[in-house]
Amino acid sequence: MKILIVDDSAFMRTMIKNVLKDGNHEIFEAGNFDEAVKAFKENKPALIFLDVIMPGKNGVETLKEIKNIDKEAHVVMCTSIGGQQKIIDESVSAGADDFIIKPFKAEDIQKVVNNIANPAK
Amino acid sequence: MEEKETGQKVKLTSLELDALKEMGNIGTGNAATSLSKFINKNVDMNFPETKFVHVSKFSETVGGPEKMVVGIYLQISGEVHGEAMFLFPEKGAYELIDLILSKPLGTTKRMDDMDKSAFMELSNILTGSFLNALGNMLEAKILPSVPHVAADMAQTLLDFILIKISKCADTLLYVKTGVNVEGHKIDGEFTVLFDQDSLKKIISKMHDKYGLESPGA
Repeated sequence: MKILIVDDSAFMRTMIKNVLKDGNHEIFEAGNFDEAVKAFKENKPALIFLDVIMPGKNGVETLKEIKNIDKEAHVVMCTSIGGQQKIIDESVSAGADDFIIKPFKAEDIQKVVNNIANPAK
Repeated sequence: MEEKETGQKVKLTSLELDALKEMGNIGTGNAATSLSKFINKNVDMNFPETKFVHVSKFSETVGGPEKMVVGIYLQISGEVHGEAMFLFPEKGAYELIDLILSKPLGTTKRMDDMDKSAFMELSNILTGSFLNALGNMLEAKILPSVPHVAADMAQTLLDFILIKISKCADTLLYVKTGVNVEGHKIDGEFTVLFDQDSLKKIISKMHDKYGLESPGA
């Protein structure tokens, strides 16, 4: 599966990438809005892990742009702020598929990937 | 791999440095979530500014040595050891007390016993959720001491922990962020430092758990 990881933290990108490394996935990385949009257009990933809090345009703005390009894109928002209701509401309205709360476990990432890979299960 | 001179007595690669910063961001985000639950109001958090700050520059970083602040100080023990401090501008701290005790904003001008008790409870929740997030990230048992709350000038509070700081590091991991509570902005700062052995242990755990490249790789 093609997976795009969008996070301004190189550490978080590495962490998710390492969880996914044994799954025969093709991984792409982006550190901000512009890189994310470019990587999405070029690679058409099946799943995007998208950090909510980024410098410049944040995750919700990035989500909206990606959904403008392809409304069927699967996007999972990653945030350390579970109580930030406004962002959750905006993300759900914009079409986010799921949320994972930082710090997350490897199983959380794998579960999301499995859900996208096997939508009927 | 590039190594960064952070002023810490342990040299860190850029990815290790990023991991520590992200640890600060995640901990602060979790603390903001707990604040939201505690005061039962929506809390939005601004993009945090996370960096290492030399101790000699710290009081300037928080607005000058004479700036009146309310600080929450605690010691970190368990599998890692260190010191942590949340700082709020005096006005912001009093506004938080108003929110906790459901008083009109601007009511609290100085802390009475009830206010101190409320702020102490807030301190327990913020520091607990911050360290809990760190513990989960590292899969390590990290325990906070009972927090101490003090209202004073920034330099006075800094002097209180300077002796401890100089024993373990020249720099503090510093996270500055603002929370927006239903349209009302409150600034806050968080600093944490670990002793050298603990910092090495944290980095080692990061490598083991998340497969970061080893220094020099």
